[in-house]
Amino acid sequence: MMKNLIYKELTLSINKFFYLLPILLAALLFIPQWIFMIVFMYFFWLSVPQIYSAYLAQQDYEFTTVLPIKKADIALSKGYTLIILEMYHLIFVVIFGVIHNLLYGSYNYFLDISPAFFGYAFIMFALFNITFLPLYFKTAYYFGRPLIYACIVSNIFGIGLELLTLLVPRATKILDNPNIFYQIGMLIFGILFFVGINWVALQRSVKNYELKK
Amino acid sequence: MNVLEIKNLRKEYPKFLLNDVSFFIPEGFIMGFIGENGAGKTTTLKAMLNIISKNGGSVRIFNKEMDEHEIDIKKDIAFMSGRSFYPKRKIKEITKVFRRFYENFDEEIYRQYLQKFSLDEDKKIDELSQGMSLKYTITLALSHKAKLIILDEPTSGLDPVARDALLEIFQNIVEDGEVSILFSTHITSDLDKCADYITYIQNGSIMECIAKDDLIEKYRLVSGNKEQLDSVKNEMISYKLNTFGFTGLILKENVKPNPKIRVGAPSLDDIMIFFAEKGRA
Repeated sequence: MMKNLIYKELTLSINKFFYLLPILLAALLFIPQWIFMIVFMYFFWLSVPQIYSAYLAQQDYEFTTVLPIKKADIALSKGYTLIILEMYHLIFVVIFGVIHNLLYGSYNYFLDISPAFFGYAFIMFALFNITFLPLYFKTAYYFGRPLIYACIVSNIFGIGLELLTLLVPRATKILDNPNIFYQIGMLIFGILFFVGINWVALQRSVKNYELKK
Repeated sequence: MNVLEIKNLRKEYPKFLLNDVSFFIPEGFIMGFIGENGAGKTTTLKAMLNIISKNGGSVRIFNKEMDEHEIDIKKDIAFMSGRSFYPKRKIKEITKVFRRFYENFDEEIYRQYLQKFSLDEDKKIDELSQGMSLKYTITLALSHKAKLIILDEPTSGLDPVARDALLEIFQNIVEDGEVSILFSTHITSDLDKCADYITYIQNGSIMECIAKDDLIEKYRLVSGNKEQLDSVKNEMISYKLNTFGFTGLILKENVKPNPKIRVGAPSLDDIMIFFAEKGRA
């Protein structure tokens, strides 16, 4: 049933435009010497509010809650869908990131586009999800406040890393450390952090949704 | 057999209480669920279907406890309201997703009803009139052979012709005795036409759950001039004063013969209005 629910989310609940947007946003990587963490943030600022307001406008819950499925699966499917969209976003940033580095080289005033950069991105997505999802599923209706809190947390992390790289040379040495072990290690750490935190976020979302008044 | 039995259903909100709601629907009938706006109709339906959590009570549908067999029960239920879902999607897109959730989705029945209701699969939901959009949700309900159809204010906003056509469809659906309908509405004239039973909810409490004819038979509408008011005032459930005197609702058993007081059968509207008046008094 989870497969059917995710299929429903991806084909019915979410507008096709949100599959095009990550490609357009990833093209921002052609800007030389820029704050590339912002590319991911556009997902939080544009796609998430549009998708979650569409759930209301389309009577999505009205359709879904009477289907023969477990209540928990509704929250889980929406959580998984958010993660799928984040990964979809990430894939295009990887592709355009490689092109960026081929065109301009890997040096950047701000964070370089490197495996570690994607490790940081995973951490930022995890911070967004753990703040947004459980809070949203307390009502499965109001998404404004959860979104603002999640943006504050994730953006402070993302912009913070970018500014540290620009302003604090010692931090730059650490964050943009070209050592392959650091790079791969940070990527793996980011992925593990993302998986672990999302597991907690989904469990808490399900619990909140099931207790929803 | 009762297709639905609700006992002492309770839902507490800071400013509203669904107070030990109990009612039943016999199989193969249309139950009208009436009450003013805000009386608790939608809350009852949502709590009953576990869409919102409940604070107490039991719900049995198809002789199974809802809390233990929710998925099984929901396979045989259809829920629809006057609001359309996915207005920017085409009928065929919604059906393609919907059918995946129901193993017993019957393509033949689906096609039959599409044709019967003249529904074009390539049309988007917001290109349909409200009546046509409801016909589409009925098509979905019948295609997965729902045995209990729950309608939450489906006719609000429909013109009289579309409303009448829809009521006729509901009557045809229950004709063979296999499908039951729970029809929540505040437009009681709809129920005059098609309901077999009536459940009346007021301020979160059930006032009546009874066959429609018995309900109308149980009460009488009385009217007279102001001089006669004192003689029946205490027996009436409530009354309203007007230029000519008064009109009120009274239990049939309390009617005393008085040639100056006119007595008649009430409509469902009358019963609802005078019970609401009593609540406000």
